[in-house]
Amino acid sequence: MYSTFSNIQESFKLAWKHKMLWILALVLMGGANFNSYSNLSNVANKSSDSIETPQLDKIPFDKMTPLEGKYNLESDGQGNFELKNDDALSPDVVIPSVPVNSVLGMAQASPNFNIAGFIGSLVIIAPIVLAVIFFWAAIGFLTSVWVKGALYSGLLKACNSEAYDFKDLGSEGKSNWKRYLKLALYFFFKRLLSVIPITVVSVVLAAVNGSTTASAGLNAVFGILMFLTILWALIYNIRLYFVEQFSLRSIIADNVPTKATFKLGWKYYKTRPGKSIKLALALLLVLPVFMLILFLPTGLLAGIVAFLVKQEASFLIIGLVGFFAAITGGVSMVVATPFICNVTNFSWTRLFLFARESFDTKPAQDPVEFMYKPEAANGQI
Amino acid sequence: MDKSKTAGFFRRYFAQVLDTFIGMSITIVPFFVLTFSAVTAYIKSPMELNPLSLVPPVALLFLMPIVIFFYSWYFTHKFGGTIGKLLFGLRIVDGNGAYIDKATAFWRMTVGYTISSTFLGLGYFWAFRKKEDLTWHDRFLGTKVLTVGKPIWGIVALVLLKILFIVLLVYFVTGVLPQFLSIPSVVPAPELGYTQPAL
Repeated sequence: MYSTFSNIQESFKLAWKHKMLWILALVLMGGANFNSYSNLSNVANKSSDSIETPQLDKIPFDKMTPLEGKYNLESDGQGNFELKNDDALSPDVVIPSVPVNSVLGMAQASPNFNIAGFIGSLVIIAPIVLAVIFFWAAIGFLTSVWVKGALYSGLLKACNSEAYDFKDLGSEGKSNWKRYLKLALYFFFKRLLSVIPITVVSVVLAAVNGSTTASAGLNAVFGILMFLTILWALIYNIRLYFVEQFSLRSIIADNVPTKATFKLGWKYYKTRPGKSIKLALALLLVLPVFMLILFLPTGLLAGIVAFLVKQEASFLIIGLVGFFAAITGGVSMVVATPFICNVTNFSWTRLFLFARESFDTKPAQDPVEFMYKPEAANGQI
Repeated sequence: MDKSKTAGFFRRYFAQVLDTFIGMSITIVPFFVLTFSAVTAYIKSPMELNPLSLVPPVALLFLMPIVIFFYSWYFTHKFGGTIGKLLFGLRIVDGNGAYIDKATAFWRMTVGYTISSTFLGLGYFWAFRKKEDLTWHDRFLGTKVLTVGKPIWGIVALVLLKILFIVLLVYFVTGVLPQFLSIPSVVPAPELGYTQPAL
């Protein structure tokens, strides 16, 4: 008998057993995280005002290196300097025929900046960069739809205790990628459409506020309208998530055209809306706790490192414990990410199979009057 | 599977290294040459900064990976491998021993390599397992890499490219860098901490 608890429990077992599917789950999740240049941006964002030179405040004025003579400066005895004349600042620097500022030298000299050339280069470079980004994004998207085909096929086979290998999954990915691509686009447009009412109300609200005849009552009406549209979009998108879970599995399990898959997804969801919501909430509760347990050793080691740093322990011990913390964290991450992802995937697959079984046992409620039409002949997207 | 015909890990690895060197020699080297020529021109005449001179190297850096992608795709489908693989006497074939079709070549280069790169590239090292010499992308796409000749031309090309890179590096260190190092330094403004009267 199906229950949410037994579903999740069984999903943990299945996810651990079918490690081949971890590979696909990891690819689907995006694999590596390219945040390596975040440090550079941090440096770039750092304001020059924040550069501190506290050592300068500690040096007495009379101990500072005298600048007079060498840099053509004249001191007033109070720490203020003035140029004696407009000659070159240092005898070893000769920059002929250049409009050099007398104090800041080349740093202040403004080159003949070619603004037309700069705009021209931007006009050439920007489309190239955008096209290249689009190209690699498209490749990434195609990769993800291929992997979906392989993954969901593997999930269904694993749940049905069928044998499979790398090549079977690859063949499924290869033969189903177009349908997954269409389904992804279909859901994308559905989500996009759900935002349209909010946009319309926002535009009208902005127009009303802009006009001089705007009243408080009208604003209140539009405020309520805005709240309702946002609420509707939120509920619709949550339901769409459930439908998507069923549709993604239905492509492989039911082998129907894309649009029919979407309709089937709705039907499966409508048979078990309570169980779908219950499963989503249970996963939201269980998985973070499991993640916490999995990363506990890393957290403890990180805590020990922090403690050792505070105690000013030897660099070797801190480095060693830090190294172990990094290794533990890395291993936990590599294991936890695909495992957790597949626990979720298996849970939804098992619920999908349960919802589908309930139809099989009641033939009178045939959910797919449009089933088993070959996609090419059907003409649907 | 005929074990004697499938290529081992190291031969495939060095073929990949050769491909990387070839890719670098047509991407990174022209990029550096164009960039340094633009920067050198700027140094020689600092007041005449022409941003358009930086367009070719930047465009090259962005576009060449795509060119290499399409070249690899075409060569894999048409000739059974990229230049590196061909010189090392390797051919990528499907289960029937024929060169792989366009779709399989595409998926092998995109999905296949992505899959093998997960778990710190474990999929590539899978070629050691079970003595089948099959990586994860081979297993998923049903392909295999066969040895059809001796790797001598690949080794020669690899050594020559290595020498070329060393020569370029030496030239860069001894010929290009000193130009930058001999630039007259900008006179520093008075150190922080002093107050400066308004000019």
